[in-house]
Amino acid sequence: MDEVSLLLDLLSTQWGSNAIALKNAGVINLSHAVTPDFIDIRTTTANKGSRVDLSRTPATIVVFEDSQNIEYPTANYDIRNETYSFTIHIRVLHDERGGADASHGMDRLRAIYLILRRVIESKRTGYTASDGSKFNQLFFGSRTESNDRGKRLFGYKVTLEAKRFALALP
Amino acid sequence: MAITIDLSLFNKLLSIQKERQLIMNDVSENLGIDISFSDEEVMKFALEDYQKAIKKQIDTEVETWMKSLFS
Repeated sequence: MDEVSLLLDLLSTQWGSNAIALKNAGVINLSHAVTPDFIDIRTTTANKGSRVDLSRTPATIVVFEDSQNIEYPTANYDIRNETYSFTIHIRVLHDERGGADASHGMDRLRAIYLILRRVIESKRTGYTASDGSKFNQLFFGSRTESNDRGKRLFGYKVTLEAKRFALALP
Repeated sequence: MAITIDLSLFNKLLSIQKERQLIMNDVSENLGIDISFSDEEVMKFALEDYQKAIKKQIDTEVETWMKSLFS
């Protein structure tokens, strides 16, 4: 599995348990312990053009790969270390689902961010997918606010670094 | 002194963000909800990336100075 798919696999498989853990700890409200849509932009095709029911789209997480760096740290150049940088965009619409709650969108965004951070931090020493693809280390990075008042859209842009160590060369 | 203010780098970073804006427009159309980046966000993200690139350049340069000073 490629790296963006691996990251999306990590998020989708670990999201539920981490959301429940934060809800049980009283950090987030039950209403915000939701699973967002995880979008791999590369697989956007015409057949995905069906309209999504807004009530089933509590938030959206879009992942972009920024860069990849390879180094050969040994004298014989016989192993490879890989570093991947990703940008993760969390986008939350503040709409009628919030009812009279004026801070619904902001609270939802905060909850999604906290769950995302917990997912990554819980796998900081590595994650292996069902097909054997793995990251050895994950580092949660900086956060930038990214709101659009006109569209009533709240967002965070978060950076993430993933590393693989000592991959044997053929 | 090897630090240069390279505007072509900024233009490159800006074009990456513009490309992402187009992709987000497509995604928004497919989803039926508008989650696309505004023009302000595109500029902000490009400036952030440029800031990081300049910082990396300065860090590398300072490290080289320090190493040459103490070697």
